[in-house]
Amino acid sequence: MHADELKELWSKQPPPSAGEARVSPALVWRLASESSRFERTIFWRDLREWLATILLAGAFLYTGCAHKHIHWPIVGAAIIVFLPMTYVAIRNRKRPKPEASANLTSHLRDSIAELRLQVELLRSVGRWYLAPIALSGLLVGADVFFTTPVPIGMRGRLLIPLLFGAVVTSAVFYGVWKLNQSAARNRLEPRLRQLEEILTELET
Amino acid sequence: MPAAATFTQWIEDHRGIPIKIARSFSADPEDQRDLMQEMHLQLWRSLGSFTAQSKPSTWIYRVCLNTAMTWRRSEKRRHRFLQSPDLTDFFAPDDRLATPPLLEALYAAIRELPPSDRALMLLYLEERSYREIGEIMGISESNTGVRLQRVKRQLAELLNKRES
Repeated sequence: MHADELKELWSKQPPPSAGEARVSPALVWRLASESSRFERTIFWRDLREWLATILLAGAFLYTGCAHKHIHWPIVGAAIIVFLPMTYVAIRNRKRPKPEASANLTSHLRDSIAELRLQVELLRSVGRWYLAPIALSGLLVGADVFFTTPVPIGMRGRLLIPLLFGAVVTSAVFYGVWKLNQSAARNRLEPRLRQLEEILTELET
Repeated sequence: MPAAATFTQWIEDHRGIPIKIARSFSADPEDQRDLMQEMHLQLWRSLGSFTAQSKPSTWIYRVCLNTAMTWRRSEKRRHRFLQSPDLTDFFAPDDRLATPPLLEALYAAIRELPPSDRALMLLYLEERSYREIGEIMGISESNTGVRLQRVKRQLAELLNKRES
């Protein structure tokens, strides 16, 4: 079939059938509410994550300073929790946002950059989320172990609940880590490869 | 930023654009419906970025093609607008019974092209100039011409294969 015939065939296709609904105020209202609902969801998700960080760091800071003498390991735990998560929260807020009305090449580039950041965050969840919490947990545990007054010869017994807590936390953390790795591997990376292929097609 | 009334008018005037793009990117009516919803949502959200330098139809093509290109089938998001009965028909795929078989074959052949070629062919069939195609795709005018020659050949081969 010749190109002109294709164009003719294309131009002759039936317009949207008359029976279909017209654009109604209900549609515009739906689009507006769906759009703001999406933005609200993202905003509250980011805020919730950061507030959880503040709460945890605040609780550590309070515990560390609430005694006669400042417990520096617990204050250190607060800082260890606060800094990396705040860094990630800021990075997340400043992530590249693909502009839907940009040209296709730019849109693809921004979508790829956004996806890469998401993959990187999921892949490195151990570094910025799990390790700081584990490290601060260790510091708090060590502080409890060495500063809790116990009868002579009984200190070893303190280790039992601390070790139990460490084992349970490790199991939960491993689950969280696996979930994040699987989300990156199964959902985001194939998508990333697909978009990179399209961009390569366009650029070559 | 154009007002909601202008937006409504544009959607009315260019109703065919999202429908054709949805059909070129998926054969499944449910997916087409989902993609149509996503395209309209993105059009609404991008309304503020419209500048008078481009035609409304160019802007609509740009947003819809970008959406289709990065769209991913998602069970969770499906039918989110369809809970409202007055909108069910709006996002319904075009009436397939009224589509001539030859046109259906053309859509099927377009769907077999790689995504970027699909977009290129759609714009070509819509009689967009090389300059406009280049603007929408983010490639040069000369590149548009070279690519189109190749894609037209490829599409013709796909159609011939279907016919035989």
